[in-house]
Amino acid sequence: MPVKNRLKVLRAERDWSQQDLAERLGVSRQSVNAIETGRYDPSLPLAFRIAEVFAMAIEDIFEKD
Amino acid sequence: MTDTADPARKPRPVLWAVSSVLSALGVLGLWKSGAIEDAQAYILAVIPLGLMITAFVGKYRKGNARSAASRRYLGRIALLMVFYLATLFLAEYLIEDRGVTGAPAALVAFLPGLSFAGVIWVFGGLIVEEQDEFFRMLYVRQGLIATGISFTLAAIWGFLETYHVVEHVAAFWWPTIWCFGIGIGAVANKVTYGTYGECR
Repeated sequence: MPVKNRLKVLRAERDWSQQDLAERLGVSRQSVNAIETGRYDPSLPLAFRIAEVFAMAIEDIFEKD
Repeated sequence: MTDTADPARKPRPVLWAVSSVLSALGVLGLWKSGAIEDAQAYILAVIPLGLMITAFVGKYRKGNARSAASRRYLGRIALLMVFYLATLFLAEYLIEDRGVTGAPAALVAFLPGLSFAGVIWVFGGLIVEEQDEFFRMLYVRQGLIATGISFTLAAIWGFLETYHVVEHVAAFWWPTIWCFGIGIGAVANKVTYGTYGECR
């Protein structure tokens, strides 16, 4: 099931680079890029970490395509 | 704010590594064709060895951008290469040059092949130790692609050889092709996921 996400918009709102977000998540910049571009869907634990970093609910960041 | 720029990524270590392989093949070709003597070949072997060490040092200097797992991977692979070259040199010297035979020869001939078991162990260690789930997935893909390519080629060549269509090929070429397959897997990852990953 394809999944869309709002990572790029949320990151831009905070003026964070991909590297900034990657460091907050403890992952590589390439991971952030792959998730943002929809090439890779994160695991549930990483999705929870993303939600925590943005202080939002998972379903407000990820949704069915 | 940059989205895709990666200032830490430079192709130089890859170029050193490619130069090392090409110069090793060149020295081997000169040696096997009889153009140079054994002593000259051993001296010239310093060139590919030096280039490979330069490639590894270059990779390590980029270390801050790398995960701890991939740094350990590179270090372990470097140690394995030293083991491989040392045992290969030992086998060439003792069996080819000094005429050692029997059980001692079998033991010495057995050692260089063991380094491939090491490569699989080190690659497995990379997958287990990598904390970044995206990179972990890339490495699994690389391993599967390398295994698919090398096993398929081994099976096809085996049947062609059985029916006398092609010449015999030494079996150590199949794990060698597996190692090249890791590089092909990295290219496949770049095409599919936009990055080569950190180990290729």
